[in-house]
Amino acid sequence: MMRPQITEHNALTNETTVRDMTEAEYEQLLADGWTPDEEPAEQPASNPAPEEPAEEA
Amino acid sequence: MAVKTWTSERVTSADINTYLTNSGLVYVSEVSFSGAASASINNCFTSSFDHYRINISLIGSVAGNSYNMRLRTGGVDNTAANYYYYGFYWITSAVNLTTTAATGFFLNNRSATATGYDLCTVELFNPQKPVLTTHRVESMETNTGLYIQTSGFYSATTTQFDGFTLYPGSGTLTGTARVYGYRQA
Repeated sequence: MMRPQITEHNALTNETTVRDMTEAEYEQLLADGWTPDEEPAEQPASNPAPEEPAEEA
Repeated sequence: MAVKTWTSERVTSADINTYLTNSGLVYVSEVSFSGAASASINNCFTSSFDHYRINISLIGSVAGNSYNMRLRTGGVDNTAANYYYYGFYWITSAVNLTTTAATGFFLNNRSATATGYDLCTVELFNPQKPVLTTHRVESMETNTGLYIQTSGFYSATTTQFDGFTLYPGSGTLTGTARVYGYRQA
């Protein structure tokens, strides 16, 4: 399985690189609760996702 | 302190250059990214400035999906659980935002459509100094009933940071982040 990519810019050299994440970076991303699809990640209990606004009649 | 004190009625090219060189906000760097699981700028916080503004513009995602920020040094994120943030967000009513000992800063939820925008300004204080780094964040997203967040953050460490990383709760990020330094004299 391909690892997700990271975009990294160096402000000193003005160079931008796009590369696959390292194993450690990918493990940290997974530890954060990240999932590859666009399903909303679970929010901390003290920081719930906002509810959709009620539709106006 | 004034950049320049006028002594004649003529504005010279040297005067204009003086103003351009000493504007209030000085462009430092930026990164554009598309389909990135994280986006970072290294070496953007230096001894040239104490305080910075970061403007972040993202486009597209699904409702309720967050994006977050970490500080970093030498190209490595600080992933320790020493990020604290407080404030509130508003969508149909205000909700308190209180999180302690997190592994990153919550900046906002992302827009609910592919063409919606998420806009965020981070005021970052003293990232390069051996003191607590603090932030003030104002952010909004343009689709889900105009989600707005205002919050304050701090990192419970005196580590001197030289960069930052943006990362999503899931999926990827597409957008731009620009860094400006606050002129000091």
